[in-house]
Amino acid sequence: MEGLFIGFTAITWKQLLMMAVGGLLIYLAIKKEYEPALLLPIGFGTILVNIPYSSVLDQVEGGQKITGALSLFFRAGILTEIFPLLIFIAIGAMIDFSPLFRKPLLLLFGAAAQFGIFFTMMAAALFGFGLKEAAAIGIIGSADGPTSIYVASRFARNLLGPISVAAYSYMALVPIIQPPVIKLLTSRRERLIRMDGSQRKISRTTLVLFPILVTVLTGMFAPTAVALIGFLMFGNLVRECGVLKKLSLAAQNELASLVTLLLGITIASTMTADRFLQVSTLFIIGLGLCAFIFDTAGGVIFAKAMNLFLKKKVNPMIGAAGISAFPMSARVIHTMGLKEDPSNYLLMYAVSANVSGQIGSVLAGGLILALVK
Amino acid sequence: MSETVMRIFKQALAVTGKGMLALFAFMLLFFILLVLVDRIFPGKESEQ
Repeated sequence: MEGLFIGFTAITWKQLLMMAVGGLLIYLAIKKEYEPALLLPIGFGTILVNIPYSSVLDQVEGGQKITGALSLFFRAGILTEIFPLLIFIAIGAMIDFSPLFRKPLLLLFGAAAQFGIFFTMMAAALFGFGLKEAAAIGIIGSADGPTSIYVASRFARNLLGPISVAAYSYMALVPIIQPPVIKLLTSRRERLIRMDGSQRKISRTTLVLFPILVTVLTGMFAPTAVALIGFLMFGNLVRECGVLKKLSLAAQNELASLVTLLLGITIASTMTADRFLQVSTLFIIGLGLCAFIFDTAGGVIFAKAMNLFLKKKVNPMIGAAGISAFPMSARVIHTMGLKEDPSNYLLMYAVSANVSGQIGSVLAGGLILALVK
Repeated sequence: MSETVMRIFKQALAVTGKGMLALFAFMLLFFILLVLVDRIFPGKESEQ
């Protein structure tokens, strides 16, 4: 009979607090619709793993180790990096690179808007984190959940929970984070700049060759980035080849949904009270915000700098869309442009920068893996 | 600030320099690639 109440007698206030955190994530997912596909499973998983002696985690009973389902998922899906890589196939299948071909110069914004990653890594180092931990925290600024998880699972497994939660939460908060930073760094005159471009067609050969060539080129220079960029580009090749329509749709829908679900609930296995309730979690949450702010600033300032040399000026707001949060960031810029001038349609250019941000963030993840020893 | 923190910060600074430089270099390469491939295989109105 005593065994029936073991959960009630063994629970700690920290576990109760973590269950409340899980509840909050579920609330944000359902009520505010903040990245529900991820925050809901993470929230529910957080409740699961904070129940005393929960069977979803590995337990020792009578000297015998009993494997928990989420612990098993963690070892099989995260430590082997399979879940994030599968998500990359799905993301690749969702990306249309053709807007980028119409305005290729916007590719550079995908590099500039990764500045927050590196700035935050330096800030985390100043706060006393080790280099690998600092890099894993900085990568929140990739604004790309799978990349954050991929790098954190290599460099700072102990911080995987807070890093994932911060990455996905801030991605959902892009419409709140970016506009004030952009307004601070641009004048109204700059925000009114119109951009011209064509709507010409891009050949299928070009769209098929691009993911292959990017993979080979990246791989030759940075072999550590091959898994990240390769799976992303493989997904894109499946989309563009034109002969795998069913697979492409399956990758965009079923694969994306299923792996996201598993990824979310598996990440939650790291959200135990003893791991999550640390001062470092607060630092990570703060530094994650800093990463998104400096990403935005990096993109806008780079666009302003480019305008010094360009005859046809670029609307500097487009620079902020160089982050990977797709298509949220592009929409934010488009809406801001319309607010300044209801006839200034920036969506196409913002989408181009946003797509380049997706390449940039994955590349940044690969470079961090290569450069941080 | 302790010596260890400064040492790690300097390492992070070096990674930042190399990382941003490499990122821009890659993007420039992709830019050239994009323009080249697009020129070699231009789109026709009937495609897509």
